[in-house]
Amino acid sequence: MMIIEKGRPLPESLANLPDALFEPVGAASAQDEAFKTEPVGFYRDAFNRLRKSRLSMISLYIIIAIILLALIVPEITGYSYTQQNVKAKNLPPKIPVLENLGICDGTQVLTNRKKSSLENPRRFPEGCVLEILNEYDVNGVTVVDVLVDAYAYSGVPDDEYHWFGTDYLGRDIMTRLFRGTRVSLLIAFISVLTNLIIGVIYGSIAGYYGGKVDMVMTHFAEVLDGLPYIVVTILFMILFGSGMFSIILALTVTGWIGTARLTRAQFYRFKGREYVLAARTLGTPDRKLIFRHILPNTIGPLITRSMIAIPGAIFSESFLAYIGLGIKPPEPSIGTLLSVGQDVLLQYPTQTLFPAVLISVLMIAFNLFSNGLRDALDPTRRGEDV
Amino acid sequence: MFKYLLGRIGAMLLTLFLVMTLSFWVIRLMPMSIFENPEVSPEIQAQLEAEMHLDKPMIVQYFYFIEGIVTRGDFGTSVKVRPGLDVFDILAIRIPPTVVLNVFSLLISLPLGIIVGVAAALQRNKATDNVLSFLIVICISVPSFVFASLLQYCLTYVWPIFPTLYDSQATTFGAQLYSMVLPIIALALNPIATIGRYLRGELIETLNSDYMLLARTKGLSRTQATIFHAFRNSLVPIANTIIPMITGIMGGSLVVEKMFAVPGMGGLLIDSILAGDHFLTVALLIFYSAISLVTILIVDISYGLIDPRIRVGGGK
Amino acid sequence: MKRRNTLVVLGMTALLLAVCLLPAAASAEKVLRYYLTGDCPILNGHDSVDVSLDTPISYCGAFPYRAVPDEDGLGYSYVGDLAAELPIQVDETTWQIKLRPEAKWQNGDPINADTFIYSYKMLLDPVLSNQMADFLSDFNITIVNAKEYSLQGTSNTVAWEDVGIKKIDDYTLEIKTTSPCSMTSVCSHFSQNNRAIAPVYEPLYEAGMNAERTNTTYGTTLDMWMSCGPYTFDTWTFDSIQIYKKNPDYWLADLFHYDTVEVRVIPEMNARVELWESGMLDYLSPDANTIETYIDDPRMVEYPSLTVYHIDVNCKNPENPLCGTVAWRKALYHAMNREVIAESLFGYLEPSGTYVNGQAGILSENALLYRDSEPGKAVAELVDSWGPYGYNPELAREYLAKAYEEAGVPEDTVITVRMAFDESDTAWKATAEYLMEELPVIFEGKVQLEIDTYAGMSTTDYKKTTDVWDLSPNDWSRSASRTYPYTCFYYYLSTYSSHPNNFFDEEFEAQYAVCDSDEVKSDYDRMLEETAKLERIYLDKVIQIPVVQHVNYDMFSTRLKLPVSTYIPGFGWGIMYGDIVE
Repeated sequence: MMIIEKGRPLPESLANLPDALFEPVGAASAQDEAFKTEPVGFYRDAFNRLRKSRLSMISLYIIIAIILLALIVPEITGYSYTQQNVKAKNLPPKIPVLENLGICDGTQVLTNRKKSSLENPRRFPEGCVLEILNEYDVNGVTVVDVLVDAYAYSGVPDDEYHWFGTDYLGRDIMTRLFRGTRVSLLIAFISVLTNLIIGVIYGSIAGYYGGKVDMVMTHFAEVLDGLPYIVVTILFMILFGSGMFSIILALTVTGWIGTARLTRAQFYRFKGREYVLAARTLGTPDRKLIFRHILPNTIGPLITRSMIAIPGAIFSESFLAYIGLGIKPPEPSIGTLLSVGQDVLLQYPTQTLFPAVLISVLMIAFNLFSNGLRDALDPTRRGEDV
Repeated sequence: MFKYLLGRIGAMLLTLFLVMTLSFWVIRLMPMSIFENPEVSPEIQAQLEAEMHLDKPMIVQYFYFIEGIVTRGDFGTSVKVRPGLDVFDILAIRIPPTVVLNVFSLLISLPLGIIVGVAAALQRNKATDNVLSFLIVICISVPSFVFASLLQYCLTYVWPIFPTLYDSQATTFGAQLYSMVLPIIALALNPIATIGRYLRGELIETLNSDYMLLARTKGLSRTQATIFHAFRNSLVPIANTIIPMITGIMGGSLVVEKMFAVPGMGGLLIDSILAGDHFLTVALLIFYSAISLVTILIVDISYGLIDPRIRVGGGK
Repeated sequence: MKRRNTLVVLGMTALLLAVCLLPAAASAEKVLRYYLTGDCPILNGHDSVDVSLDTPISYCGAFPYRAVPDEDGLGYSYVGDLAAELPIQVDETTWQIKLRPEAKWQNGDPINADTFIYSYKMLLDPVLSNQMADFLSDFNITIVNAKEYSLQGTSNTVAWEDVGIKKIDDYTLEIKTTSPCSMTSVCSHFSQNNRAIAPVYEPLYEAGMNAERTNTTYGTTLDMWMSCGPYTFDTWTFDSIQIYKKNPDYWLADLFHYDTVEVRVIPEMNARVELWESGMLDYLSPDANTIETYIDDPRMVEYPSLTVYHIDVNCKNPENPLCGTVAWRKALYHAMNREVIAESLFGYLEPSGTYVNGQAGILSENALLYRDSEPGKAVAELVDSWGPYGYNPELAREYLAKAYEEAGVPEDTVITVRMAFDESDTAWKATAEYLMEELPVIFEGKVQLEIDTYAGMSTTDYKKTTDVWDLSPNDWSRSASRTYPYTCFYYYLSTYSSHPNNFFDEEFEAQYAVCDSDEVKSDYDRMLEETAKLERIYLDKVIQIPVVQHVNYDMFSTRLKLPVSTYIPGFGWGIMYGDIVE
C-alpha cells in the first residue's frame, strides 16, 4: 500500500499507467435502448395537430391564396390602381368566360330613360341597347327601362374587360380591391406586430421584476385600458389625420395591453420554477433569464392571441373608413372601397359586393385558422389526436 | 365587498378624469372657429368666441371646463350640431333610441345564443353542430356594417319587407320596434354567435366531468343533464363575453344607426366629430367611456351573484 | 327550461309578425312629404346661419310680406302677411309698414309694432352678437345705423334711437334706409327670402336669456319657440322628423292647401332614393351618384345656383418655389379640364371658367342675370377664346415655363402641389384624385399632386394650422350677389378677415370699391360693366380658380301640383303653395 501525502504529486509510476490495464466491469457496453421514434417537441406536436385539422388547413390555404392574390393581381390586371378613365366610370363586372353564361357580362339596366333619347347616337351609341324591358308613361312622356351593354354605352372597346367593374373614376375595381387587401393586411400585420413587441416587453418587465415596478405598470395599463377602444381610436385619427401611419398608431394605443397582461401572467407562473431559480443561482443576467428562460413559455398563447387580433385590426380599419376617417386617397383599402360602395349601393351593388365578400372570406379564414391554432397550441391537448 | 367596491369606483373616477383631460386636450388643440359661414361678419365671430372663452389660453379654458364639470355638472353647450342646447339635454333626447336598439340586440342575442350553443353542444360533431358552427364563424367574422348593407339592400330595396327608416313617430312601441328590426338584426348576429361559441365550448368541456356522469347515472337524459347541471356552470364564461359584446354593439351601432337614420348616440358622435362641434365631442367621448366603465364594474360585481364560489375582491 | 326558451322565441316571432301586419292608417288628408338632409340645429332665426332653417320658418313663421305665385303660374308678387298692405313710401329713403291688426301668435298673443321693435332690437343687439344681424341691417336694403349699432360691442357709441327702425303707432313701423331703394327691395328684404326677419316671441326669448344677456336658448327646442305662420310646428323629433299642421286661424289660410307637412331628416342618399322610389317622398334632389339614374326622368327640373365651386391657390406656401407668381396660377387655371370635372365627377353640373355665378343679378330690377348681359357675355367669350371654359394644356405649359423663369427655379425641378380638402366631400375627393393623374400628364411630369385630407375641422381652421398647402377647394357663395353681382368677390378682399388664400391685389380692391360705390350701385347697367371689369382683373391675376357652376336638380312627384309652370327666378318652385292631387 502506497500512501500519498496531501499536496504531494502522484508518483511517476502511478501517473503514467497505460490505458490497456483498465477494462469495464460487468456488461461489455452500458448503452440505453435507442428511441425507435423521433423525439417530438412541443411545437412539432402542435404543428402535427394543426395539420390534421382540415378546417384550419383550408383556412390557411385561403389566407395564403388571398395574400398571393393581393401581391400578384394588381400587377397583372393590366391596369394600375390609379389609372382612370372617367368616360368608363361605374362599369358593371365583365369576366371573359362567364360572360357567355349571362353573368358578369357587362350589361346593366338603365331605368327612367326617355324613349326618344334611345335614338340619340351620342347618348346611346350604335348597338348598346340590348333589350327594352319596361315602357311606361310619366308626365305624358314615354319612359323605358332598358338593358344596355354598359361597355358599349360608355364607348369602351369590346375587348376591354373589368372583372369586378370600375369605380367613380373608371378605375379597375379588381386591381384596387387586391391593392386594398394588401394595404389592409399590411395595416393589420404591422399593428399586431407592434402590439406584440410593446406588449411583450412591457409585460415581461412588469412580470419579471414584480413588486412596486409591477404595481405601477399594471395600474398604468389598467387606466389606459379603461379608455374605450372606439374613443381612443377616433381621438387618434382626428389628432394625426388620415393615413396608414395614424391608423396603425390608433390601433396600437391600447391594443398592446392584452398582450402585456398575458405575458405578465405567464411570467408570474414561470419565474418561481426551479429551473429559473437554478439559472439565477448560476448568475445568469436578467436579460438572459427573461428572454431565454421564461419568455419561450409564452410563445404559444402569444401566437394565438396575435392571430386572433389580425381580423380585429382589419375590421377596425374598415370601421374607421366607414365613419370617414380612412386612409388617404387614392390609396385603396378594403374599408374605403366598402364605404365608397355603400354610397352607390342602390345604383351599383357590385361595388359593395366584391369588397364585402372579400373581407368576409378573409375574416372567416383568419378566425377559423386562429381557432385551430389555439387548439393546437393548447398544452393540455398535447399528444391528443384531433 | 364594500371596500372593494369603493376602490373600484375610485379607480373608475380616476380613469374618467383621465379620459376628460385627454379628450379635452386632443380635441380642443385642434383649431376651432365655431362659425363656418363666411357671411357672418368677422367682428361678430370674434365677439362670440370671446363669450365662450375661446380667446383665452388653452390651460385657462381647461380649468373652466373642469370647474364647470366639478362644480355644476356642466359639460358645456353644443355649438354646431345644436347650438345653445346643453349637452345633457341633447343626450337625453339621443340616448333612448340607442338604448332601445342596443338593449334589444342584447335581449334577443342572449336566448338565441344560448339555444344555438346548447343545440350545437348536444349534437356535437353531427350535422347540426357543423352547420351551426359554420354559421357562428360567419356571424363572428363578418362586420356588422356589411350585414347592415346586405339587409338594407335586400329587405328594404329589392324586396321591401321592412321600412327604410327608423320611425320615430310610431304610435305603438311595436310599430317602432318594427322599424328597428333590421338594425337590431345587424347588431345582434355577432353577439348571438359569440355566446353560441362560448357556450358550446364550455358545455362540451363540462359534459365530460364527473358530476355529469353522476347526473346521467341517476337517470337524467343527456339533454336534461345538460340543461339542469352543465348549463349553470357555463354562465360565468358567458358573463365574461358580455363586456366586449356591449362595447362591440355600441361601436357597431355608430355606423348602423347612421345607415338606418336612427336618431341615436352613434350618429350624433359622428356628426359632432365631422362638424367640429368640439364641446359636444368631448362630452360624448366622456359619456362613451363612462358607459363602458360602468358596464365593466357591473359585470365584475355580478360574477359573485352568478357563482357564489367567486368572491370578488376577497382579502387574504 | 329549453321549452320555455322556445316559447319566448316563438312569442317574439309572433309579436314581430303581428307588428308587420298592422294595417297602415289610411287617411284622406293632404300630406306633403318633404325631406331635409340635416336637421335644423336651432329654430332661432336670429342666430343660425343654417339654410335648413328656411323650411320651418317659412312654413311656421310669418313675415311682413310674402312672395306668392301669380294666378298664371309665370311670376310672383308680394302681398302683406304680417303687414296689412304693401309698404308706403314717405320720402326717398323712408318707408312705412302698416301691420295687420288680426295677426297673432299660435297661442293667441297679438303681433304688433312692439313685437317687431323687440325682435329687431334683439337681432341687432351688440352684446347678443347674433350671427344673422347683417341680414337685417344690410341685405336687400341698408338700414341707417343698424350695422354701426350691432357692431359697437360694449362701447355704447350708437344708441338704439339712432337706428332707422321706429315705431310710429301700435300698428305702424318706419324704416329708414341709407340710400333710395325700390318697393321690391323693401318687400324682398322683409319677406321669406330673409329668414332673420321673422319676429321672435318675446316671453320665450327673454325666458331663455342668460344673466349676462349674451345668449338665449330661444328655439333650442320646440317648447322654446312659437309659431305664427300658415302652419304650426307640431312635432319635432330631432334628426328624425318635423311635422307641421295647418293653422286654420291664419289670415292668408286660403293660399295654403296641405293639411300636414312632414319633413323627414334623411342624411343618407340611399334612404332618400328608396323612399322616393316607393312613392313616400314628393321631392328628391339627386346627388352626384344618383343623378345618372334620373338624368332622363321627365320629372326632373333644373335651375342655376348661387354657387361656383372653385379652388383657392395659396400664395404663401413656403415649400413651393413657384408659389405667389401669377404665371403659376395661370398655369393651374388653364390645366383644369372643367368639362370632365363638371360632367363626370360632380355629376352633370356646368363647367365654369369664371366666378360670377348663374344667379348673380337674379333679384335686380329687371331680373337681368349678369351672365346674360353684354358685359358678362364678353368675359365668358374671353375665357372661351383660351379654350373650352379656359382649359388649354398648351397654354398651361407655357405659363408653367414662365413661372419657372419668374421664380428663378431650374427647369428640371419637380413641383409638388398639395391639395387639402375635407375627407367627407366626395366630389372634391374625386376631383383631387383626377387631378393627381391629370396634372403630371399636362405638365409633362413637372408637377405632381399630393393629397392632404382632414376631418372634423372647417377649411378655415385647417388653414390656420398650416401654410403648407397649395390648392384648397371652396364653395363659398354670397347671397347678396343675387342683387349685386360683384359682391361674390367679397371674400377675396383684404378687409375680410378669414381670407382664404393669402393673396391681395390693389387693383382688384380698387375696382371692387368702384363697384361698391353708391353711384354704381344705383345704376344697374353701369354696375354690370364695372363688374365685368372686376371679373377681368380677377381672371388676369387669377385670384382663385373657378371650376364648376352648381346646377340645382329637383324632382317632384306626380301627385304634387306646383303653383308655377316654370322655375321663377327669385321665387323658385313655390312648393309651399302647391297642392296634392291624387
